Amino acid sequence: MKRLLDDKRRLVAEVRAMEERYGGRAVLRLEGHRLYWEYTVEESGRRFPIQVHYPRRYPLEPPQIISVLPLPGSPHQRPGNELCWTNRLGQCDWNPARDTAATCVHVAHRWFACLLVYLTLGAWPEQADEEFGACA
Amino acid sequence: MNETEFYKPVSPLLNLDRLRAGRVAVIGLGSGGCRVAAELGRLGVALLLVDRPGELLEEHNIVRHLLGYSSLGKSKLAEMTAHIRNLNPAAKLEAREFEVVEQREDCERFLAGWRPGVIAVCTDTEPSKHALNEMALRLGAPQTGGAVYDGGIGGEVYRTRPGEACYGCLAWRLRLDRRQPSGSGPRDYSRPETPEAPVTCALNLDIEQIALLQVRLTLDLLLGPDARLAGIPSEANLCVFANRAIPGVSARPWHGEFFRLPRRAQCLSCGAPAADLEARAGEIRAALERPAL
Repeated sequence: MKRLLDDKRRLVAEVRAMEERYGGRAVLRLEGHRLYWEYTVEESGRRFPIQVHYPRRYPLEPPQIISVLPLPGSPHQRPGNELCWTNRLGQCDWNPARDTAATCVHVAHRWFACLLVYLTLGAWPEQADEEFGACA
Repeated sequence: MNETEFYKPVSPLLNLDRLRAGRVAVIGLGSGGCRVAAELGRLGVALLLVDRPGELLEEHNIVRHLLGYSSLGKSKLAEMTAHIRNLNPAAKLEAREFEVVEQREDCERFLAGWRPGVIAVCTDTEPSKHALNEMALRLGAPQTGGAVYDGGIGGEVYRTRPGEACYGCLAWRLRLDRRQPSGSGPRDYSRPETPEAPVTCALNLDIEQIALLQVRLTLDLLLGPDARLAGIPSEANLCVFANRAIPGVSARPWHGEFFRLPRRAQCLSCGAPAADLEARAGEIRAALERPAL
């Protein structure tokens, strides 16, 4: 994660975007080479702690959103309790000139709301199904 | 080679001295990039050809590529260099292999030394386009680029110039998911291994049409608007071209729409950095070094 730590402009933009939207509720951590945000999504009275990890090719590739707690089975997740929210094949709507890790926190709120719908009704909400993409 | 004879049919249209002084880095030698490189090289523009390391021509490439069966299994970079040299033996060509995302520092260092007048972005993934956009911004180089829509129904070509909207600003307005084939019914959760189809489905002639528009924009940047090779409004930075009628976009086939997309003040690539950048970055790094509570 040296690239992001050395890129002052990007680092400041990331922290500023997160502070503007989520104040002190999101905390940036550095553990060895791993740089990530800690945050807890609160949705329908439940709490879902997450970590938003910056990948090696960031910001050209979007961050990974990891649930700290084990996830129940659902169609939009990857191994390792990772939320599936973009098409990793490259043609996703992630724009490094616009998006930051704060975008991921917003996405995580929507993702967990969809998960609760899925656990209740057995189907992921249709529009969000397209939005979160294929998770193969 | 008799250069006077060679250029005779085009010399009334082009400023040959300016053309031959032009330097273009063509990044990506797929079905679009090979056309861009060949057309510019044919005219004598000095070219830096860049392709991924070890990129070979495969059989499924041939139906949409300039190179044919005699190049099968060979390096696209070497074969395209030979192809262009055959079109114009006086062409000044340099070829380099870079994976522009993974090796972006090396690629940028090389581009800085080569000093392109224009970077022709002919890669097909968003990360590579954004990586090249960052390089172009730091080098102060204009860019052209393009994309063909799925089904070959049309495509878009863009140009960026220093001080104007960068590719990041343009991508803000482009709906990139439109290039994906639309879903054909409900998702089958029982078969999560079913692969997506990331390759844009289009005919050679669909791709060539869009690639040649990118060549026009590139020449326009190299030669200046008086060359009138594009003949489009000088402020336009995006053209959406319909190879066929596009429902909801263009009722007319063979038709271009021109747009001037503005620069975004909040763009993280070309926007102004925070005034307190140094101090703020120092605070953030210091906070990261403190042990967590």
